[in-house]
Amino acid sequence: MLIKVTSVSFSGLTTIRIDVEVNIADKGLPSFDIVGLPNKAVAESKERVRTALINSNLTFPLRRITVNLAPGDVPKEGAFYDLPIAVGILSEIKGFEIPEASIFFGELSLDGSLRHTKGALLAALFAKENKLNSIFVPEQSANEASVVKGIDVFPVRNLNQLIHYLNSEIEIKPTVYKSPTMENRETVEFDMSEVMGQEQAKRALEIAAAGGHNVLMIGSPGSGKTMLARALPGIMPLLSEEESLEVTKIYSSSGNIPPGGSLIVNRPFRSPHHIISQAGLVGGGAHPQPGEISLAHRGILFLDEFNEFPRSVIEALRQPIEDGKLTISRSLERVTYPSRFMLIAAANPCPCGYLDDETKKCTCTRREIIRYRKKLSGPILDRIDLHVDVPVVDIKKLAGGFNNSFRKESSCDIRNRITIARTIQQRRFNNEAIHTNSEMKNRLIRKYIRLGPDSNSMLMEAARSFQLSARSYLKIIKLARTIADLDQVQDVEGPHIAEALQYRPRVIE
Amino acid sequence: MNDDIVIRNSRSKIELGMKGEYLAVEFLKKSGYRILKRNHRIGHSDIDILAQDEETLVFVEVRTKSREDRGMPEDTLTAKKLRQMKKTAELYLVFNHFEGPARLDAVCIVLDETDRVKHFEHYIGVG
Repeated sequence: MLIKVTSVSFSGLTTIRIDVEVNIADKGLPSFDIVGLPNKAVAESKERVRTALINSNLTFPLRRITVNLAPGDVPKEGAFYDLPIAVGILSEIKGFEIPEASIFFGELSLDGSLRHTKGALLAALFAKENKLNSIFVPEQSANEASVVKGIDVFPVRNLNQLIHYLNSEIEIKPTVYKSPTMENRETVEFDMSEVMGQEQAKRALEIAAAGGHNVLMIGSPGSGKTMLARALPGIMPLLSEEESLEVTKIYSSSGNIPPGGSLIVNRPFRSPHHIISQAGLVGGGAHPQPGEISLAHRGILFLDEFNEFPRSVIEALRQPIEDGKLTISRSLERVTYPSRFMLIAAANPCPCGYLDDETKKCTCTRREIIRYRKKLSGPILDRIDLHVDVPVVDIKKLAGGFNNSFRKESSCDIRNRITIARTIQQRRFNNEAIHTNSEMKNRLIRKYIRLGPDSNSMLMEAARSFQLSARSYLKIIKLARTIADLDQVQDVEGPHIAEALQYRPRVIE
Repeated sequence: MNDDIVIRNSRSKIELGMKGEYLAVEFLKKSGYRILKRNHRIGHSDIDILAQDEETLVFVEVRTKSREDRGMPEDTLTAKKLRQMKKTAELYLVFNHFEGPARLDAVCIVLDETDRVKHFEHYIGVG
């Protein structure tokens, strides 16, 4: 008898429908074969299904079982075909009907229970897009799949429970999506008010967060670069629903959602160590997996000790920074992952770390400093809008901060300002595919940015005296636009340009 | 002298095997199987017992060991042996145009010096 169960297959973030055909024949010697280009994980499904059935006190039929995963020319990978295969076999021996227009998805444990399986959200989205009624997923992945509204997400605990349900002996209640409360939102490691001094760096981060600009912080060891970066998520505007879904899709496909987890509501903050490989940063593999840049999508990619990253790894960032997405081409498949992240880089000014420090003397030679700086190529530095110095905080000031009871601005206050600036930008780019000022290309800059009379002349003056390149010229205009947005004004004025000019890369004399 | 031992050993091995097969047949009969053929030869290999369990055709391989042998009879059912058994069974099905369900069983027996049964196991559906 031939039974058909619907499941899915993934290639990056795209999903296709897979028909799991299970044929159980009475003729010939018993066997159990899976065809349709299964990889190792799919082929091993045989042993999991057989053992899970036996451990659920069900008899595994000693008959000729052939499983076909159609279409047969698409390579299948992943362990989630366990459930559709088991359901197909059980439907034959238990005699229940397989519900129509339903997707079955999940990995079996040897005891017959279902394990948390990566990709449940993508499968549920596919069900919705293709007008299917329901999806059966492991109980621990049900919260994740229930983000998709309009389909029934059935949480399956184990095989026996599912059999009883499909025989209409018990009810399984579809999982209902619970929107996260504020308590679910993770508290940020540091509040901006905890960072002593560093007003200029804080201001730079505020501008960066408002316009989605990239930042390079240069400062001596212990000056607070890392702390500033870690406080940054606290001032970033909350993820919109659309953004949350984009982020959750990437995390779902790469198996980064914990069992029982649901929609990701916090902005991603990724801080990979500098020994990271190129594939680890931008993604890769025979079946390309997302890298840190995609996991930081809509969030922050913090590269501490920026100079220590291998050059080839850093250079790989160029294209994704520009495009906001990266296509990884391999012989087997071609996958595109979004990577619209904010790059926050931190570096020391020189190998010893104390160049320009007031208390400690720098021991580096000029040659050493130049070589150290040269590790960062021009094209990369050019893509960083804000270059900020983070000097060492005066100990007296620090001690004063502890004794003083006056409250500095909290992250929450800063976030409110940034949220307003972002709303202005959203209104501006209503008809465009972008969200923030930093994403503007030349055409859009001309279209949307109006310079006041004094700002125009100031810019011309600066371009002459600083010998600005065309790209830096436009960069300054974009940055000034964000500063003006924070001030909530229509035109970019002189002071905005003046402030933007401060964040140019510093040249060593 | 050496030759004597070899001959005596091989003869006792055949005896041991025959005793085992006899015990297996008795067991299968008691379990309700119909015995169709014994030691049926196909090409190079043979089928120890061919039985019928309701409508299912059962190919039974009997493995017998004496207690002074080292190891269990189960250990002799290697992947290679199972493959060979499967091939033989499939050949039989084709030659005899058998269209119904079929399966491979194994019976593993350990006898002691006085031919008392120390271990007896019937495995349904091997390979």
